Amino acid sequence: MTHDTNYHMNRRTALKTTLGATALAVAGCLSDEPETADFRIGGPWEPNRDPHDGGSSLRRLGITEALVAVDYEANPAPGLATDWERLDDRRWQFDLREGVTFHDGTSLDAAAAVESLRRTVDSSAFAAVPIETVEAVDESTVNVETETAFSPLPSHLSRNEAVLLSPDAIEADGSITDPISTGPFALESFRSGSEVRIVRHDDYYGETPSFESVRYEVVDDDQTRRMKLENGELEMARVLPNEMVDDLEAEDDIDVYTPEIPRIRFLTFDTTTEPFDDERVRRAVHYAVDRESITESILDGIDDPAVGPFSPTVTDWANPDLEDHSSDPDRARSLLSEAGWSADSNDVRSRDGEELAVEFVTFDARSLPLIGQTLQDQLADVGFDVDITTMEYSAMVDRVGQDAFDAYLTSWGTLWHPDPDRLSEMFHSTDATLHHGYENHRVDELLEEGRELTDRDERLERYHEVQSIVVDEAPIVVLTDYANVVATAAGVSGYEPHPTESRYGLESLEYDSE
Amino acid sequence: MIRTLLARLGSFAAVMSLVSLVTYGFVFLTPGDPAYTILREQRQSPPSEREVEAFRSEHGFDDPFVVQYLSWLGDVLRGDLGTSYYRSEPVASLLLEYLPNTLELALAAMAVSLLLAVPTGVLSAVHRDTWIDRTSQLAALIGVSIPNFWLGYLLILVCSLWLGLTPVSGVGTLGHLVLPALTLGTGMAAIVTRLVRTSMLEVLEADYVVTARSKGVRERLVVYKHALRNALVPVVTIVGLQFGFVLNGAVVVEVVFQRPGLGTLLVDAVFARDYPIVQGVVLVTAFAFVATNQLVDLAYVALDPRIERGRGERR
Repeated sequence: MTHDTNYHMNRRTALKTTLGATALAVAGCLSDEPETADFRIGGPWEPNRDPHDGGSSLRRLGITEALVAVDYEANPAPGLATDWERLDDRRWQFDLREGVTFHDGTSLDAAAAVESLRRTVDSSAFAAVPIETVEAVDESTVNVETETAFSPLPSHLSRNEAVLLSPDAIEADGSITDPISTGPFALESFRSGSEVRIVRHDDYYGETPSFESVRYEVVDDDQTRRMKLENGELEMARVLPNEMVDDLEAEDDIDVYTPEIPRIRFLTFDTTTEPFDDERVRRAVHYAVDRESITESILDGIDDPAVGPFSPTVTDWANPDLEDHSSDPDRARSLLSEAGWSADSNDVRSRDGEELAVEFVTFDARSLPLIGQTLQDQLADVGFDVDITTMEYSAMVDRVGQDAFDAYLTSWGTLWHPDPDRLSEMFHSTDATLHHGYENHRVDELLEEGRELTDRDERLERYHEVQSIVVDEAPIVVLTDYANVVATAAGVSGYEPHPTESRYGLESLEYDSE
Repeated sequence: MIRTLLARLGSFAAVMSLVSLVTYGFVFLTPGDPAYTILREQRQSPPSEREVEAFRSEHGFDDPFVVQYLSWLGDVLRGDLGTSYYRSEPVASLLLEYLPNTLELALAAMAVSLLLAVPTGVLSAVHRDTWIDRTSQLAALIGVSIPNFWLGYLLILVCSLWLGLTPVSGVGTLGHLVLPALTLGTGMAAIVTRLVRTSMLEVLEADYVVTARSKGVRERLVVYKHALRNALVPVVTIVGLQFGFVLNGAVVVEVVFQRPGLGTLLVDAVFARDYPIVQGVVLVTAFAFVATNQLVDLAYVALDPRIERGRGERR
């Protein structure tokens, strides 16, 4: 009996202790009220402290700046360098802006710029940029020499990884905990994967922001992001799905922006195996697709049908003479017949007893699987039997990189740094990271020349020709352009969406909460 | 006692190393090149081949499996869980930052589920086969069937957008915790309700309850003082086990309510192929599971010596 009582006492004490500790623990976790800010942004992207790990969020928020900025026509523009000059094929000279101070008060000079740039040049992010040396010529001049003639250099120096950091931001082991740069805002606090708080940089050389503090929150879920905006917990919600646009536009206290960004959805063929080794079959797909009906039915009419790798409304690197591909199923049918795939009263075409059955691989992005299904229907009309396989992105890349395939459906940023040399990564026979296996010596030659030439018009000519050839020979078939959906509280003014999303332009924003 | 302790420590170490080897193996076999995937996630655009190669050699991806595993294991034994590929931050500090949010949610959800389930279960048992019982059974069925994310959105819509009672999402205050705890707690409550009911029904027929009744003890006292306390013993055991499954549900709830917790950390890391984080989270979770189990076992022995002596009978 005594023993029993003891047991109960123990258990009871244990229970009480546990409950007490639990309550304390929960209370402890709850004690910190989130700090408010003058302006709050919610987006799905997780910021990183080190610009080498992507660095897009820090750049967009206006913390970091680079020698070269990107203007609203998606071209390289003066940033921390006010001017630059190509001294000869391989040497470039950059003149630093005067009177620039880092967030920690040190002033920007050539030595600081060189230290920061060298760290970038040595990183894996710049492995494909052939920079040989970076040197300070005097207090305010930096020279960069490349291994080969390389026109896209300024464009690469505008990348988010190439931003200039204060010498004190770079720790002894080369890591970054506080990205001290020169932008209109300085980092105040950083909670990995959840939020970033920034404060106004009072010594900023440019426009003084109206906000003293801004908070960026990672809100991964689309619905939650929208509801936070509607409930006044955010003033700006980024990257919302197209299908929310109509509803949000109907709300009085919310403004919606749908800027076009340089990104396309497209099919990439395996041009080394049947049936897509035959250009006629690839072109048949190109004509069988009704891009308009895809953008209207799946993308709510917000994204436009694509005509080529670049959209002419985003950049003048786009070839304006590419024909607008309204769908032409009859032409698709005759191309297939020409290639020996005959219809013979069957729904699915065949050649030598083999059916025209293909598999399109895609990944679980917002609209790609749906677009895949639409393609399935549209291509069935001209005699293809299309099977859609949806995988996780990495698994898809592995699959198409290692084995033969028919085609894969994906999306790419086409100007993530503002130079058409990106076309090399799409179509050059050895530099391409798309797995089409496409080889065209003329295309290679044009791309290589474009990479070396200085004159913009001469480059333009070459890149326009590349676009004509690849649209014609169709190693890829472009489907749609891309728009970004951003919604703000109606009191927000001065927001101008940036075409390459290089900046949010927070220093120009005002918010009137009334 | 010492021998038991040592044996347990031994099995503990064995389980942990097996867990680490198996996760490492799975991670290694998962399709998808981590270098490519991480670079693409970071810049939101596919990287070039040279960048991928540079990243691979920088992080030692080209070494054979055994070399990579042993090097990782060596670091872990020295207390270094490694550095995230995607964020360049130490895994240990990420875990420390995220863990409290998950624990807070898990504990609050448990509290919600018990507060809902125990009274309902008891009422259901006492009023067996009446409309009260049937209503609570139906509620439990609905509770189990409703998907967490849907309930989450519904609660946000009603409580935040319509009634303006709570913030939509985030962490920090009690207001931020209420909806996620309700979302996660109701699903669990449904299961616990059934358990309390069954257990109560059993106990209410036990001899000592009959004795108590025949002594003339008031029915209320019989139910709440005599029966309920004993009926709760199996419930507590199960609830303890369920704690592990809370982590499971927390993934969805954490995403809907934008709570930075272990669930989201793990899922994001899996998609980004950020293996040091995957390893870290799995290791910590496994550690918590195994440690809790071992502690519970040890606690049985300490509390009730009969259990150790009677081991043979207990399987």
